[in-house]
Amino acid sequence: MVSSTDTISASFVSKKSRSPETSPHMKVTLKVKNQQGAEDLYKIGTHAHLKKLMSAYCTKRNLDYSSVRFVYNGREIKARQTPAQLHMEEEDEICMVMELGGGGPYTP
Amino acid sequence: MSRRRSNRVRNTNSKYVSSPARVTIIDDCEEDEYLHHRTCWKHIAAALSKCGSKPKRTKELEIFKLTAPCFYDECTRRGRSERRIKCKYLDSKLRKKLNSKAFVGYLEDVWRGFSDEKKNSFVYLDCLWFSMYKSENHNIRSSVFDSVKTKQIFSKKYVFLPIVYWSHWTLLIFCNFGEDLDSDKTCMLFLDSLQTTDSSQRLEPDIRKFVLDIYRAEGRTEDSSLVDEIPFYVPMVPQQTNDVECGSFVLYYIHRFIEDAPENFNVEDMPYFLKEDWFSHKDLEKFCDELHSLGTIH
Repeated sequence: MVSSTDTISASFVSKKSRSPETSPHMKVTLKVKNQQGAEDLYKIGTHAHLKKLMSAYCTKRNLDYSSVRFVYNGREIKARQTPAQLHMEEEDEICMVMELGGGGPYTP
Repeated sequence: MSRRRSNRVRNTNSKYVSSPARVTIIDDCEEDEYLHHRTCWKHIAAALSKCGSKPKRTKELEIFKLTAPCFYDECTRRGRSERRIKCKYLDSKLRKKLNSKAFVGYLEDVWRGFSDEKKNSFVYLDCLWFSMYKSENHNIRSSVFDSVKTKQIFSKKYVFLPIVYWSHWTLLIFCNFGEDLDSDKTCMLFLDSLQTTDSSQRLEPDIRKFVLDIYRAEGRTEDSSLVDEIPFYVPMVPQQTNDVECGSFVLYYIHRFIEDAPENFNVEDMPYFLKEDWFSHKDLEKFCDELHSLGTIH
C-alpha cells in the first residue's frame, strides 16, 4: 500500500512525542475550500493550534497569511483556536476568503 | 517454476490503489498542546484527570489555583507605547489603502466611541459579507446568511453595510427594514464618495437580490416585485479629492450618520442632511487625526 500523503515536518521533535508511553493522539481531517471551489485536505491534531493549518495552506497556495481569512460555521478562525474548541469533526469544511482592500484614511 | 508462480500471486495482491485526494498531514511536535502545557492549574488538572486523579492531589490543586493562573487563551497584551506610535514609519502605513482587516478595526473604534443608548437603533454588518455573497462557492454564500441572522437587523432602524468592491469602499444604509414593505417607510441609501464611477447602477441589481435573499433567510415571504420597488437613493454627499480616500470617507459617513440621523425616518423628507455641504474636508481630516491618535494599530 503506497500512501499518497505529504508530511509537513516541524523544525524540531520534542522528547515527549517520541516516547513509547505516549498514546497516539486524535487527529482530524479537515477540508479547506477557497472561493473558486478547490479543496485541500489536511490532517491535524484536535488540540493543535489552527494557525499551523492556516500557515500550511498559505505556504502551499503561495498566499500572504495576513491577506486571507478562514471562516468556519460563519465565524472567523483565530490563530490560537484548536479543532477541539470549535467542535470540528471528520471531513468538516473550512472556507477561505480573500481580504479585500480599498482606499485608506487621509493623513496630512 | 513454483517460485515464479508465488511471485505472481504476490504482485496481484499488492496492487497499487490511488487515493482520490491527497491528504496533507500537519506534523505537530506539540500536538496536544493543551495536555503538555503544565504551568497553570487548569492544564495540570486536565493532565491529572487523564492519568486518573488521586484524592491526595486535590489539596495541591487548590494551591496551584492561587499561584498559577491560566493565561493560555485569554492573555491580554499591554497597549502599544505612545512613543512608537508617533514615529514616521507607522504614520506612512496609514497612508496606504485600507484592507478589510484595518477597516473593521477602525470601525470598531468608531463604534466604541458612542454610548449604548445612541447605538440602540443602529447595527453594522461585516464589510466582507457582500463580496462573500457574490462568491461562486455555495457554502460561503449560505454562511453569510447564518451570520446576518445573528445581527437581528429587523429590530434596528438603520443597518450599515460597508461594501468593498472593485477596490472601492462604499456604504449602503438600510432604513426601517423591519417595517412592512407595503408601507412607504423602507428605503436604501447608497453613499458613494466617487459618484462619477456609477458604482450604484452596477451594484443595484445584486443589492436587491441580496435583500430578497435576506428576507427569505429570515422567513419572511416577500414578493420579489415588492423588493424591486424599495426606493434606492444615491444622495449627493461630499466627494473625495484623491484616489485613496474612500475608506476614510465611509468611516466618516457612518460616524456622522449616527450623530445626525433622525428619530423617525420618513421617505418624503429626503434628503434631510445628506447634501454636498454635509461636512467639509477639514472635518474629515480632524476625524482621521482623532482616529489616528487613538493609537490602535491594525
